[in-house]
Amino acid sequence: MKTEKIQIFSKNLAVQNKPTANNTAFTGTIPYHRVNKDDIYPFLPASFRVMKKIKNNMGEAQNIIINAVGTALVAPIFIKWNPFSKTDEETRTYTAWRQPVSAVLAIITQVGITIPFNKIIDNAANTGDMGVNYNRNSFQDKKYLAKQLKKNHPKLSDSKIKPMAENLYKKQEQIILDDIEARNKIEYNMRGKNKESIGTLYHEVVNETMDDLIRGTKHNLEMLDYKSEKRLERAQFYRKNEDFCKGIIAEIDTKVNNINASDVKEDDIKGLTKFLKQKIDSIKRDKTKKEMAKVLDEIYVRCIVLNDPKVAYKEVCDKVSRVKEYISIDAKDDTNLAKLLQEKTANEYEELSTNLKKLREIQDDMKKSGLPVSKIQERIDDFVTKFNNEAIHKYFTNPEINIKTPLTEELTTELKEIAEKFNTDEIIPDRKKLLTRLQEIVSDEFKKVDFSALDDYSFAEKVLKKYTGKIESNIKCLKQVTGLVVSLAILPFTCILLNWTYPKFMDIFFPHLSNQKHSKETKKFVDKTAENCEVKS
Amino acid sequence: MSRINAITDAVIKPVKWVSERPFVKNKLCGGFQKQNMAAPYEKNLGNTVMKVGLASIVLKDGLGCVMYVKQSLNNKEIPEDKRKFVAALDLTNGALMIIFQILTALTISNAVVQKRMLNKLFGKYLSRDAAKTYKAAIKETTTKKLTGEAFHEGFDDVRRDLLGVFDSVVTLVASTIIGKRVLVPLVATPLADKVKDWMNRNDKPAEVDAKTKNTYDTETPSAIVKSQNLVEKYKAENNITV
Repeated sequence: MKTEKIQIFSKNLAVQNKPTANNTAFTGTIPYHRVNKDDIYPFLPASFRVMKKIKNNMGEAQNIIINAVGTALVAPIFIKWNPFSKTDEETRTYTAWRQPVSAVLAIITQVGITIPFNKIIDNAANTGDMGVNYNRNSFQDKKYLAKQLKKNHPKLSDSKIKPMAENLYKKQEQIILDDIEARNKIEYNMRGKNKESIGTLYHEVVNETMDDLIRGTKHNLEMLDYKSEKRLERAQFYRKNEDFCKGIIAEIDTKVNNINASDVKEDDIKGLTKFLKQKIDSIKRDKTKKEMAKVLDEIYVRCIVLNDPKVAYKEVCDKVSRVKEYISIDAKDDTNLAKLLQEKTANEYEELSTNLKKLREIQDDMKKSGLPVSKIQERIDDFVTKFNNEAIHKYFTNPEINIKTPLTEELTTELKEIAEKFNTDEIIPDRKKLLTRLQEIVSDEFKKVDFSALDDYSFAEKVLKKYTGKIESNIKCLKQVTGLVVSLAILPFTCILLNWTYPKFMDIFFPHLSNQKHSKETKKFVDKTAENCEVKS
Repeated sequence: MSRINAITDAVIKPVKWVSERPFVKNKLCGGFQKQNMAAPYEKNLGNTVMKVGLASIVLKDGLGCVMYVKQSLNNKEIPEDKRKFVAALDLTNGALMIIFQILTALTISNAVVQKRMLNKLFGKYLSRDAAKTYKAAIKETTTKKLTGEAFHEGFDDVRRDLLGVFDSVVTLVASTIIGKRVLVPLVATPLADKVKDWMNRNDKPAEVDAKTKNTYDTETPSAIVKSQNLVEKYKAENNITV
């Protein structure tokens, strides 16, 4: 049975679910490299990348312009050539021209007032002019940093400024992290004042971070039953429909094996996708076989989501062989599986509920005595991390190995093994101690290994993420509220402006529609003559 | 430069005052945080963002509609024969715009509905199995270190990103372009006819002075009128009834 990994804490902590008798508890959190969403995008379908591009290029100004273009070009068509209206066309045409005029005025007022207003708020948040809840002076955004760099170094190109701004941003984050870990506080700058602590906001952020961990653990507990229920359902299906399942999977297996594994082409995957789609469609019709359609869908997804046919093929092969294995195990006896699942769930349940209990204890202590983040980290590490790797153990406990230790073949191999561990989900103990140790013994060969992963994602980092997230969300909210106030405040002006501009625009460009058939001088003359000719009673 | 600083200061002071109001600081910002920072599995996030959006629509468009109608009706520079139609269209357009945007906010722009729509359209590409495949592909091609938890963290951000883009695109196409600029004027224009008629309901026919009244019949030629009058006169004198 496949060992399922379970989440202990929603995002940052994981335990490999292989409890053994030799497990030794060590302090330390699980190190891993933080994957940026930008690392994932290249692997997603083209449509997602297009959507992302739209998002990046869609600023406030673009939104206003699209809106205005719609008002100016689309709306008038449906007023002038409206098939349901009985009003004469001349009046409709006259009224339709109000739309483009109002669109131009909207661009002027919104681009001229709303956007600069939001920029002022953003700027104030960066420079430290805003209060503690809206102040991002200690983590100024990359755009602002790049702007400042450009101001100070006008000769630098944008391609150089971008990484510099990113570095500066990371440095800012590091300062906050150090403050959290070493001094149990976050400081911020108010313009014209000295640095000061964010005060109660800090405790709020730390408490909420702990709340998140507890909620994540609770969620994982709730998911345990769901997962094993689903697994049992599938096992029962395999048992009841053993021949059918084996037949289908054998067909797919043959199809997969016909592909040349050393030279997988896009067309091979396309052919496999088509075959799977047809199979799914034919199985789906029979409601009793729906579960098999789901299984095939899981294989199908592996074919369609990637651009790289080789990886897709490898993934499909893995999945097919797993399904084959499951069918042959589950078809035999599901009582045994149920028992195993029950045991597994019970183990996981016990582990998770213990963690939950301990997290709640920490939370209680936080309320009573305001535990510093470093202590919280220690206590979490205490019960979360398990260690079962002799090689690593040897290296960080052996005082004889240091930077001067010659790199023997054996040492190189073992160091490589350690480095490999950072590429896996393996749990590594006491990350800081190990990091120091590895840095001591590391040679040029290992300098390319990114050990920064070891410092990633501590409780402090969660606190930092919570803090920056809160401030960003507050700024967003404030922009929306003040945006509403500004819009309401300028409404009378835009209204007056439209009513002043619109008839004048029509008089100038469409005099025949605005009853201005004559020039102003002629009109005056006509009016005067009409007055003189009037019959006086 | 100092002038720019003075403008910035003048803007920031009231903004700061607004930002420190307990209603904004605690209630609204708190509601925004709950929705913006939620974990993917969290439910019952409240609807502060939607409420603020709706309040914004009703206040801005509602007040705008009233002002535009009033000013159009009193704008002497708009030809009299067209003034009421312009005002009527302002009214129907404004009212429909509010109704339409509220409907949009409750349906296609609603966070829950959008999540479902995204899942319906791209669910396969965002499923657990798809995630596993992306993870395998990243592991194959990148030198970066990667664990399940790290990957899911990034993938959650991607999902959040896509939901945001999906929201912008759907709102832009369905609401801003099709709804507000096609459907609303399509319905508002014939409705404006009715509103204009309603506005004219109490209008009396123009009073004409008896002395200047034009008695000339424009529909029947004068020769026919004259001959008809003679026939009528003859019938009356000779007591002829037909």
